[in-house]
Amino acid sequence: MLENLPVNVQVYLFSVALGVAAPLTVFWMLRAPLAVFLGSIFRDAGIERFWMRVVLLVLFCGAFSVAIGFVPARDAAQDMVVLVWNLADQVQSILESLLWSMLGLFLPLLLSYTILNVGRYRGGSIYPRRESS
Amino acid sequence: MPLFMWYYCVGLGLVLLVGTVFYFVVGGHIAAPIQGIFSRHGGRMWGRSFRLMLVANVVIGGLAVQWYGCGGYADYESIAQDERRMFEKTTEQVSGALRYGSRFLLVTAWISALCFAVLAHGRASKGTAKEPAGPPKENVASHAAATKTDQSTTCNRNRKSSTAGDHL
Repeated sequence: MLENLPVNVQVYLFSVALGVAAPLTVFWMLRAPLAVFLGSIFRDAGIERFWMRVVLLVLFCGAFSVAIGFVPARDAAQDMVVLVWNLADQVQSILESLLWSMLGLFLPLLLSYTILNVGRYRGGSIYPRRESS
Repeated sequence: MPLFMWYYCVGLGLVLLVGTVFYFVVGGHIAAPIQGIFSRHGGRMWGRSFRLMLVANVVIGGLAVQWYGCGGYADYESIAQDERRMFEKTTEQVSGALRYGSRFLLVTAWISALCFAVLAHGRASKGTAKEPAGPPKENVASHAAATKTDQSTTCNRNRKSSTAGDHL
């Protein structure tokens, strides 16, 4: 079905599909542990639900905005090499947008978790081990 | 497919290989330190997102290398005619992937070390604040009883010595 469409449209649709699939996949992979982590910070179902929606929307909108703003190169239909460079740049832009969205979302959560849990480190001794004689 | 596209694909393959190596060398062992800082579930979330971001960074580093000139996507003739430049671009892809990956690891190490320090510092300061507060209540009672018996024995000794002095 897609083969009948012009190359420019195919490339654009590929970009949009990637812009939708990538953030949803990332969110699906992180959903369950993220909910538990948010619960450990906020301890309220309403706030937790709000944050989950914020995470989903930020991830989705970040990647989707890059995807729909894609303009296929003029020569992409004639030159396969131009098409490849164009697509590579687009994939890079979508991945960068996802990465910055994740960093921007998770760093404040990390900060709040750290401030809330100061002094509750449970990962073993914070001092170096002494050799017993 | 033109020759330089083969070079490009080999470069991308090497970038994915670098990503896989990073994933297994660092990503496989990140669970223990992260679960030490966070709880078990929080550690799972951070470990997963760390691996995702690490591999994404490596791939971005590989894709960031431009195989075309300043004239746009169609300006690749100079590279297409020079096999040495194709090889240079391939190595640039691998070096870009390594550079992006190592920078991400550096930033992550920096942030996690700071978090660890903040989390552990509170515990250390709490521990030192408790020390000068003295022994617990149970020990206070036994300590008082022990001093009382000591005082009584010293009193008896004094009495004995005083009586002995009287004899003298």
